[in-house]
Amino acid sequence: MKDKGKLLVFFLIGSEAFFFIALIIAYVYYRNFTQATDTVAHHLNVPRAAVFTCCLILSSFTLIASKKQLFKSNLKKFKVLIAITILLAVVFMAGQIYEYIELYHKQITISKDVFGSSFFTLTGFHSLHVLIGLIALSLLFAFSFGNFKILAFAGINGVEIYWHFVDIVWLFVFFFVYIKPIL
Amino acid sequence: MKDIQFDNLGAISELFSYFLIVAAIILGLVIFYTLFFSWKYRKKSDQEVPEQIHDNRKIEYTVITLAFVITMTFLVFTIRAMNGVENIPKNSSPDLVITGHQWWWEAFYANSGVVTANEIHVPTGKKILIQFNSDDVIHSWWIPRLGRKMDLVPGMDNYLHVFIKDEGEYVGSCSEFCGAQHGLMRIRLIAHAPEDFEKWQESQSKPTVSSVNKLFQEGEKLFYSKTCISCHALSSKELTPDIGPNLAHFASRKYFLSNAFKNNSTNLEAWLDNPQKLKPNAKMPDLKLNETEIKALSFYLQKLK
Amino acid sequence: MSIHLKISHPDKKLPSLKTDRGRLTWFSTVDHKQIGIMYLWLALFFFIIGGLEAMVMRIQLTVPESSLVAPEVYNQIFTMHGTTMIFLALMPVLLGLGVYFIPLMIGANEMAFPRLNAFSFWITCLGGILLYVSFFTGGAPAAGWFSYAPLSENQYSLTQGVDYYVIGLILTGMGSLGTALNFAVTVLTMRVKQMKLNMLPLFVWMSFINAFLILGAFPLLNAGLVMLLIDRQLDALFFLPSSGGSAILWQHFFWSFGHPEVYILILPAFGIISEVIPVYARKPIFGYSFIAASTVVIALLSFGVWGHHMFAVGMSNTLNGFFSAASFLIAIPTGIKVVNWIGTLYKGSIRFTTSMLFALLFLLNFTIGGLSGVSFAIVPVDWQLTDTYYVVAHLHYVFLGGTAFAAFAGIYYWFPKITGKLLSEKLGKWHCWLFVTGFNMTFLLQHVLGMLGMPRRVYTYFDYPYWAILNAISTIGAVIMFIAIGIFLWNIYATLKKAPSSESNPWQAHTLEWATPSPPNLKNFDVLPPVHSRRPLWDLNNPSKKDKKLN
Repeated sequence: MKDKGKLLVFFLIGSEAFFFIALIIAYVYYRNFTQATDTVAHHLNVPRAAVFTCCLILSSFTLIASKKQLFKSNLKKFKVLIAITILLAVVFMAGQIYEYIELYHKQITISKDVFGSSFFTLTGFHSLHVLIGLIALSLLFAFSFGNFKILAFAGINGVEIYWHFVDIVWLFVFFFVYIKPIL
Repeated sequence: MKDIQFDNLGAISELFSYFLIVAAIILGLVIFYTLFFSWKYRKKSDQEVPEQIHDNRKIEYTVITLAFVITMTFLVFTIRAMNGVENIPKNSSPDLVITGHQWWWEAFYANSGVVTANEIHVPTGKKILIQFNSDDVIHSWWIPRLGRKMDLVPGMDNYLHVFIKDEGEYVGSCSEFCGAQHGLMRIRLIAHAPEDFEKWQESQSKPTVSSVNKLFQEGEKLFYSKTCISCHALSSKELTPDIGPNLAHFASRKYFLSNAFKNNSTNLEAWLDNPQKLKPNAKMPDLKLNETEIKALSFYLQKLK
Repeated sequence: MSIHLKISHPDKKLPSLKTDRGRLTWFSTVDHKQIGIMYLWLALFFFIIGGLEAMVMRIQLTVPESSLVAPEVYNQIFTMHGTTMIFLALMPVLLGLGVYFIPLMIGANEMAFPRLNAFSFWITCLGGILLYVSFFTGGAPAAGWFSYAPLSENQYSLTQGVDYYVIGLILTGMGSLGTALNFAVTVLTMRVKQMKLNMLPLFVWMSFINAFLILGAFPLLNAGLVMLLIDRQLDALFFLPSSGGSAILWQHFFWSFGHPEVYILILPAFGIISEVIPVYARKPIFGYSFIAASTVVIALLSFGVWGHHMFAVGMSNTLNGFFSAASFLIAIPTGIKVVNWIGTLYKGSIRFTTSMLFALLFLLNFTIGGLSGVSFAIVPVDWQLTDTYYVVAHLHYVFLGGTAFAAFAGIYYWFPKITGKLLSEKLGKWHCWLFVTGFNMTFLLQHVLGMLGMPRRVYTYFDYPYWAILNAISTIGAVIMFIAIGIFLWNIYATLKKAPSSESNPWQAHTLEWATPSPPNLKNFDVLPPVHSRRPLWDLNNPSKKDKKLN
């Protein structure tokens, strides 16, 4: 029997991709198709963001490793690896929050100009997805303790695809928002 | 007429009539076959089991090819007609700038510097370039007899060439939903022979004539004291304030309120008395004028030739 | 190793309001049939509300310079009419029929995700309710169903109507997305073993393709909507040209959703027609593979045609040409379908039931709507006719003459399946003929009104030559449609009061949903007939003339 949950998440992220494409298009549109100059880009700390980006990418790999351990029924290693995954995601989120606070002190807000609007909307919605992923990961982690181990098995495939998706979206965001302006 | 590259309405009607002919033939075939088959193959008995036909590739491919040929022919016509419209480079210098407001039209004649509102005059026999933009929401300029419509988009300049052969009045309407009074946002374009247009433009360029009439002066005073002046300019050379229509030479206009009402004292007094009653949601506030004030203001405005 | 719902006993009857714990079971149900029925009621309810709004507009427009309805009220009414009919009447009726029949038609006992199914329904409901709550908060949205920025921004839409519009649409959109996910996974994983993908009934196939259209289109709308909401609530500047935003960007987002949405509303309708016509003609559908393939072509092309809603905004001719070409191309697969439906009639044995009548009239009405749609691909013609009553006429020929006629055909066809009771044919024919008369009276002449220069969305008009008489005829037509709907409602009411008939397959239909008792028990299938062709029940009834064997 095919894994319905996996298929569901697969279609779901396909649909979500369109949502993020639209948000990225808005950002690119303002920068490249209007006279306005990007006011956010040069306030961003690219090297620091790159480090956090690496954390997020790394978390994808730890998640893959943890899945392997789960299917080998090595619960202990699974728990450790998924805990690392969660930790990496939290670090990423912390970086994001730090960035927001820093921009706020530079008086860059969502209502400052179109770049403020699209920067916070795009990264905000991405962070929201990271948060949802974090909740899902935490649930998997929690399930691995009690009598619900079966739920961890049932959920891991879907969560994994979703998490990779969140990762890949970030790579695009990172490219268009952080890298592209300095190229 | 070669130099007039695109006779707007002519080209559109020509294409549209080709389309109508083809569409009518297709529709006729669909109706005929649907009705004919329905009648011919109606149930004869409960027991009959018709022949089970699954498909007929030949018919399918013929139809696809035919449909492809027809639509692509139309595509070629479409592209040709579309490219017949002169491509107007952005930032070119227009003869006339029309700005949309909720809910009136402002016209600025670039060559003479004249500003007027709602009643728009143009010369015949001459290609004029109109620039469109909007001060608030999206409006759309459309005079059916002159062909295509053009949107007035805030933050964006659109251009259109207009060539009018015959003198007369051309009416149209705002064709993009722009809020409460979209329905009454009419357009009136008056085409004059070039000499008459020059005359009109000259008369508009002059300052409005003052009068020693007592009622007139009272009205003039009211126009300032009741703060009408903070929204309505009185000189045809002034672009500001841009809130209400420029009222220079107001009396020369046949209609007012974006061409929805005849410009006469009855309507004008009704408007001054209670703007919201005549045109709900209009931006004009109720100034709470008494009857003598209304009379004086109305008299004053009607003398602004 | 996964978590299952408890499958009920095969003989357990579907609960009604009177059995079991009555209403409570309906609120808590995850059964696809119950949810499907609720979708249909929801659609009917909002269809009536939207219809009443249409009547208010028609009455206001009967005579020139009428002041019955104030402009701001009229604008709220037409905004709500469009939004309601599209998101709360047509979407639910099509999704509802899908939710009810897709599992039955593929021999499954449930949807792939029953709880998600219930969630989707209730969130759609919530969206609808929120949209209508706006009336009590100072005013419904009044910026049109397309909510063009900057008119929909704070400065120009002062009431909270647009906020309710945004949130309402996001919620119903989530419902549609959930259902679409469910359809896609259900069709891929829940089919009875012998049923290959190329044996799917066309209604299922079209709903399946449609699911992907929904998955692609709604996120684009949602992205636009959240930006608008952030603009309105957090003072962002996405669509405010005065502060560097772009008014055109909203239109791109809206129509890149809006045009696929048109196909989202018509593809399942095509599916219904492709089910109904063969049954009453006693023939297999003509050119199954062409109908199925053309659906895929439509789905792909539908994402490349949105620009034809924007030819008048001043895009470059290159862009215009591209969108024009795509819009022409999409007419071809649509035309193929019409040819195939007519081909199905050829040498059939046609039964003129109400359902079949609606299907045949769909063919004629939809052809008019489809053809007038092609005229918008001709850019210069679009420049002239866009945003006039010609468009109003066109879109009603597609949505009402197309989708709604197909929905009626489907309801008359499947009503005995859902309830075990046949709708009265006599009342049905009255409904059908009155409706088609009223419909054409209302909308055919609106093409002419548009050519004469009457713009859309005007709350009143002046007495230009012919405008008054054409509008008056239009209103009379609307009244006739209104009466027809009254007959339809009466028909439903009277039929529901009757005792169920014993026949489980009154039309001798040939797809799997008719292999269960009517109405089906709580568990759909106890035993399934063998499935070797697209028409398993036909094979059972006509052993000597079996359908093409496909497995």
